[in-house]
Amino acid sequence: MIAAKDKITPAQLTILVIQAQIGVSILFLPSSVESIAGNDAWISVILAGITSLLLIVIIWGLSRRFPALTLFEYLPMLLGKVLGKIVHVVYASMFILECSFLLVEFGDVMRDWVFSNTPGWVILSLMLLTSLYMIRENIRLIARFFVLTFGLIFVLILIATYAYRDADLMYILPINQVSLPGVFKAMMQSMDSLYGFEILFFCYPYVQGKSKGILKATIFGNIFSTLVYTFMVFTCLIVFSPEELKVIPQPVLYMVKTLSFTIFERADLYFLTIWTLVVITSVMAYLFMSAKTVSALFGKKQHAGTAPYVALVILCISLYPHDQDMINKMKYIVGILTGVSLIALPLILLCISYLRKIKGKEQAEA
Amino acid sequence: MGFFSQIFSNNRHVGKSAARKSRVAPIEKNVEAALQNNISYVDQALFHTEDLVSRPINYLSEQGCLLYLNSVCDPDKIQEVILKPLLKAQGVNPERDITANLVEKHTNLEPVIDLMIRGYAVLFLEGREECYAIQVVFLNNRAVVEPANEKSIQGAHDGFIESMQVNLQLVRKQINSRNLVVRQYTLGKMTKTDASIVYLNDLASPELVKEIERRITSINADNLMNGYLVLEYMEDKSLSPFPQILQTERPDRVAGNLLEGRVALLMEGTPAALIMPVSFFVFYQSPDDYNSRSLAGSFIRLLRLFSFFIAIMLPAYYIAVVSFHYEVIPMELFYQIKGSVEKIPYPPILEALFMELTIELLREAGMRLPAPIGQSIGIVGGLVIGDAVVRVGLVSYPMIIVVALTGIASFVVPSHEMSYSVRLLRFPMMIAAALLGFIGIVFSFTFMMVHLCKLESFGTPYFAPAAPMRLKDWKDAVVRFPFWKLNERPIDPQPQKLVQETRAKEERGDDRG
Amino acid sequence: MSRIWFWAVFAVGVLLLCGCWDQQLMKNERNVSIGGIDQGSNGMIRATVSIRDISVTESGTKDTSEVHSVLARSTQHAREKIDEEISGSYSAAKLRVLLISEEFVKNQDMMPYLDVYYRDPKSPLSARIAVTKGKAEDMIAHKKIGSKTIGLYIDDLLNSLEKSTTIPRVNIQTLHPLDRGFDFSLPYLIDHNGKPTVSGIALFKGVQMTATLDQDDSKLYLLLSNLQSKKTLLTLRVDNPQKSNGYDYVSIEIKSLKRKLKVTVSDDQQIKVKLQLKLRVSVVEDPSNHLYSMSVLHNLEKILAEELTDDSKEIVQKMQRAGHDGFGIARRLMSFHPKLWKQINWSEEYPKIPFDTSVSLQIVNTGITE
Repeated sequence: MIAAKDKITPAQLTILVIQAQIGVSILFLPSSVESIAGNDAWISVILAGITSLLLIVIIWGLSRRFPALTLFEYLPMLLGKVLGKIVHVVYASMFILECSFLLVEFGDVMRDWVFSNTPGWVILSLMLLTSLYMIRENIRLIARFFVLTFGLIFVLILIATYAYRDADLMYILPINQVSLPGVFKAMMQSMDSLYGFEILFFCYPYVQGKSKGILKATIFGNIFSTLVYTFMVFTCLIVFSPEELKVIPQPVLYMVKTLSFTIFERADLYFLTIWTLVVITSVMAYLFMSAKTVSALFGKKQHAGTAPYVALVILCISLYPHDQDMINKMKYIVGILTGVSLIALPLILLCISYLRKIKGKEQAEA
Repeated sequence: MGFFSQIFSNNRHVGKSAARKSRVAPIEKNVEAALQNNISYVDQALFHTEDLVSRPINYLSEQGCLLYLNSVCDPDKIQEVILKPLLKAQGVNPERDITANLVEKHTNLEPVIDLMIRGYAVLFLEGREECYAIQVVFLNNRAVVEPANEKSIQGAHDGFIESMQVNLQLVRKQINSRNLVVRQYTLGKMTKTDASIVYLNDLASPELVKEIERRITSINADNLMNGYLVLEYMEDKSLSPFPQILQTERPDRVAGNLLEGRVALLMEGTPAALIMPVSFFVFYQSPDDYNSRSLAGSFIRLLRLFSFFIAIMLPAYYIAVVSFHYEVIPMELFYQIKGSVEKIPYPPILEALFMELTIELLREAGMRLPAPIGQSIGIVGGLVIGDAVVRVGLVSYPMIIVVALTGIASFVVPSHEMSYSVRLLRFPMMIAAALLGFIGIVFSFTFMMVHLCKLESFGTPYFAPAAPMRLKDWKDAVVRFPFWKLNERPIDPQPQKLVQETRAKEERGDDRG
Repeated sequence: MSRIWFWAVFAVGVLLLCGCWDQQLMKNERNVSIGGIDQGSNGMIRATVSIRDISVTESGTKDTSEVHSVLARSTQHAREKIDEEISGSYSAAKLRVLLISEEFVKNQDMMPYLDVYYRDPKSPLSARIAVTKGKAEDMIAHKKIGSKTIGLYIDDLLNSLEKSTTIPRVNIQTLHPLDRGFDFSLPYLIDHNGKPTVSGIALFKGVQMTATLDQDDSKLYLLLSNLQSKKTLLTLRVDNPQKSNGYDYVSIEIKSLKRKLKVTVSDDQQIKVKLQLKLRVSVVEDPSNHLYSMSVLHNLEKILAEELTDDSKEIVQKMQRAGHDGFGIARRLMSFHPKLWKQINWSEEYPKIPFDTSVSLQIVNTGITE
């Protein structure tokens, strides 16, 4: 049993999910989705939000059957020892790779926009060090920090809202220019940005209250992030013409670059600064999940000891890709891994759990 | 491992109980019937200290001797409460005859010697196997005046002094409740200083009191002369830049905190109370906020919190802008700043460090010197050096403005301790800004925030009510709502009763019990 | 103990690394405030910049302007060449105005020369851009007009004219040419007695300048494009045969504006545009009329509306002749009639589109006399 002292509230869970979901993609998503779905990109993002809702329900359904256990404690119960270990390794590599990819993209933006000469390892290792300092603690303290920094997302939205000065609604017309498959393909693309809800695997036993409340909290978080992403994509769509979006990889930054206020100019630098904090929370979430997974793999109860090593591995991986080609390749691999471990595997596990009637102990429900 | 999370923690509390067991058991030495034996025993026990006075005395027909240390005893009192009454005595019981307010009868000599050190005179009578310790302590208290470092414009003007008794009385005067409990301890193996914790029995959480008691009693050190020493032994993380125990010299501040369910520690010889547990925001509250009206109080409090950010971020921001992101300055200002930094030979970080350290030097020098000279140092330093340094071209005008603003902002904090931490914190910020500009500031700021979120003071979250977020408590932490709006106490010291007032006529049930 | 060592080494390391990379000290940079591009010989460009310096002394500040001009293959090449000429390192991050000569934008595509502005993260995308009659180099060579340096002077000039709806609000960012579905227009600067003056706007077809409008027309053009700024004053001629010349003009201030732009496509794929402008104005100057009587007022409204309609029609015709689609008709076709858009050849079709232009006007205020 988990002591009441270590528990988090459903509201904290909502913010944990949001902070894990909203990260680097706030800059990348508009252009990457637009390149596939054209003017209908915002529809794809909403569809992706709905899909992730389904995935959340699956993960929740699975966790509900083992209310006192985290994923890696009940994996062997469902799959047996050997298969369980293999799946465990898949998850571990997924989290590590996803975290590295996050850092790769962050480093990319930093290099393009501010620090063209600073070596990547300086920025990335400082970032990991900061995250490491936080994630060695338990989920309760992490949740506190995430709640504290939650307000910054609204600052980002506020800055972006200023761009409506130059907006032209006609850019998103005509709706449904691209075929339906295109929209779905773009939906898969935007799913990448909405990953992060898998933190539910780790939090479920720690949340106070009934399982329904947990589902509600997670769904609420997911809806919020979907709305934020949709807002960003929509804003970019109406500020830039479709052709422009194709050549601008970080349209949100480009959009705020021209904003100048009486007291400061170049809003993009401030945007980047705040965005960095938002990315740090994402990195923290993923680093936490990676550290938890890896330490469970080695049969350790505490993740604090493993975390620095995991961070080191992540740093090495994230420094490896040095051109766009490799980044694309990495993105592809990450895409497959997340697809397998967040879409396919939870569904399979849920089926097994229902078919073989394996459940966690009832007493934990109280 | 345990590398990062424990970097600021120390393992002080480990192995305390083992140390306690090794303490020497008190020696027993009974009072003998022979007067001379007793006197020579005391004399030896005090290593023939020369301020020991032994005055032969007659009690009715019995021969006796009064022993005391003349450095701690009041001769007038001895005359008044011992010698005169004994002359006129009638009965057989000196305890009745002596008119002092504290007379203790002892049969064991060891505690009596400890009492003598604290200002007791001891009366031995020939043939009796007991002695009488009479309190005749020489009280040399200074007057209760307003503390120099915590002045207030409105509100009470009394402050703690070096006597614990007086201090306790000052606190009691504020809260006339039978729930106000004082627990006394003697701290320090050598110094044997009196200490007492004060709390409201029906408010302070019992676990908290227990924890504080545990920490106090487990300190095993020779020198615990005053509260400032005890503070470091009791803090959760001494190496954290943030103070986790509030020192205050104001009885009203202590009373206010007691009423929120916190605990105060008073010590003999310390003109301050240590309040625990505290949260970050308590350091930014001042009695003035409560003594002025709520709008004014809220404004001042917001200004103070804003000054926290100015004090730690402004130099860093300026360095980042001037050496990395000058694009963010609006055009006209840009050329003005550029014009003034053009001829400075050093990079901004050195410029800033030089100026910041100069200001710190001036402050320290001004404080050490007697008041009239201290002021002139301020003028010489502030005006003359400030002007000359710009003329020579060592430091630019904008940097002077930045440093001066930062300096002023760091003095706004109502707590001296927090003021120190704020001044220390800006150096890492500045270095981070010189390394990576805005992004460097973000990293160091995040680091600080994470540290604040992790920090706990006696098991309660230090950064409450910001982390964990409880917007209800912002009414009294960040701003100050009118008193009739503050229906609940802040939750962070975990008081037994949350409701502190009800607007409804009938008593409302308490949700926390 | 090892932790303390770790942090000590870390702190010293960070301290030593300070300013190792990407530091751009403000004092080492030379900041360009205005730049100009002219046609050079052999397909090269002549780039001219003015670097603004301020020296702050006890007696106050002193502004100076340093002009450099180079012949270069591209904009970035020009930057490098100028960098070789000047002390300190060249920086365009605080560029306020970019001037391009008329000759240059009439003869060739200027976009390749702007590319570096879109690519460089530090580039000033909010810098204004204007076309000069004659060489931009000559304009910049003025160095100082009065006490203001040339960059500041032209920037302030353009800024104030933007506020009075004389020229459109354009900066390098809004010029970004890809597929926007409308054509831009730029302020048109002339050298008038040794002072840069805005004579109107230059109309572009795609990336080529094709015509100019004078100040009066450009105001109306901006109103028709629904780009009204803070204040708009129009002075119109109302003939008054009985009185002297001084009584011939009426000035009105536009209080509010409603524009309707309707692009209709008939069944036989004919594109028609209906452009309606409804103005609510206040009279600020009208020496000939006293507007206490409603009939005089309505009469004036009628005369003004007719005159504005005629002017608007002329402007629209001029735009069509120049192939300048300033109203974004193309964008509407792209958005609402994507199929038709793919079939037609826009540059041929546009001049043929029939425009139905009308301006109506209502006087709401006449000042403190009637």
